[in-house]
Amino acid sequence: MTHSDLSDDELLALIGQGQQKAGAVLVERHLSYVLHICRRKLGHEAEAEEAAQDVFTSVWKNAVNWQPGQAKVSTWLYRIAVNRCIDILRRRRPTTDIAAIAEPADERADIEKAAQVSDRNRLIRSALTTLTDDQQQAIELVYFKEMKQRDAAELMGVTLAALESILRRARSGLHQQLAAQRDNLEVV
Amino acid sequence: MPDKKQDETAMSLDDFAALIAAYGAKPAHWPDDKRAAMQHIADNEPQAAALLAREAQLDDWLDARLPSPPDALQNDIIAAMDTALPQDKKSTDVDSAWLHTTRPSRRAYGAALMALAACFAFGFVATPMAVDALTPENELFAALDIISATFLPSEPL
Repeated sequence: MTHSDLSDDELLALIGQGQQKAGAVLVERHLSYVLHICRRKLGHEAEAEEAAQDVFTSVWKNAVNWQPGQAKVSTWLYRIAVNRCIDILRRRRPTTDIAAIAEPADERADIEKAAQVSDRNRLIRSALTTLTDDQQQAIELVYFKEMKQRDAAELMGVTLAALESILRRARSGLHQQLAAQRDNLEVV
Repeated sequence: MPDKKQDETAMSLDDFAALIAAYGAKPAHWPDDKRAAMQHIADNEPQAAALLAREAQLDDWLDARLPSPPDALQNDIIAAMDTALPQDKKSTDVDSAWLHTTRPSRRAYGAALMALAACFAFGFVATPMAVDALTPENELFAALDIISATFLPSEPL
């Protein structure tokens, strides 16, 4: 079993003992989610990155006090991220009504939705990692970067027909992986 | 002479299915030179709708993937662990390990206390016996007389 197979609770226990490898896995797993929250709250890339960095510094310092099962790690991260964003907004605009910006009318619903977004993101990323390297590269280039098929094929050093075949196998694999998780991929 | 428009839209449903299985349901992702034909099938073939719906579902899931964070940010956060994380007790906390091996335990404190008490008890019992053995009774009382005559007042205060 590797660190990547461990639950968030197990990773935090190891981080509390000073294990950096566990910390790196937690960052890999949750940074995109934390950054997503900070970008949404702050609307400013540099500040969002600063906030995300502060969130994880706080995690390193407080991991030793984490009680497994007391809450979801994604909920904890959400709470730290929102608090840090409020600090930054105060610093940026002291006269702004922070409550109106950072606290939604129904915060519990917002936390729940953020947790669902986090889980869905994790499932999708996990499904992508089950693909072969060339399948991942093909999806990244053609789908996410919207590169022209011919350019992507040239970059990968394959024919256009081969690229299509790689993409077809990649999407077929993703269908299998994600269809089984259909209920967990819905964000209410 | 063949109709150019008809050529552009000539595609079988199987070819269409194979292409959207590779490129998904969004026309923007379809190859430029086949887009018109694929669109024609999508608009006119009743079976195309079900095929497109299946691929559109996967497209939606892929679109829900949050963008990857910048590598530099990820590296900075991981590097910052060095100073923020507690030291790994198993491998690097030498000072702490030294303390654990050299600090006396509560059991050791108890044993030392017992030894001290035993010494007091032994001294209490053994000292008069030693004095008796070393000094004859009359000489001891004579010595006490000399001391009392020298240092104590001869009359009541």
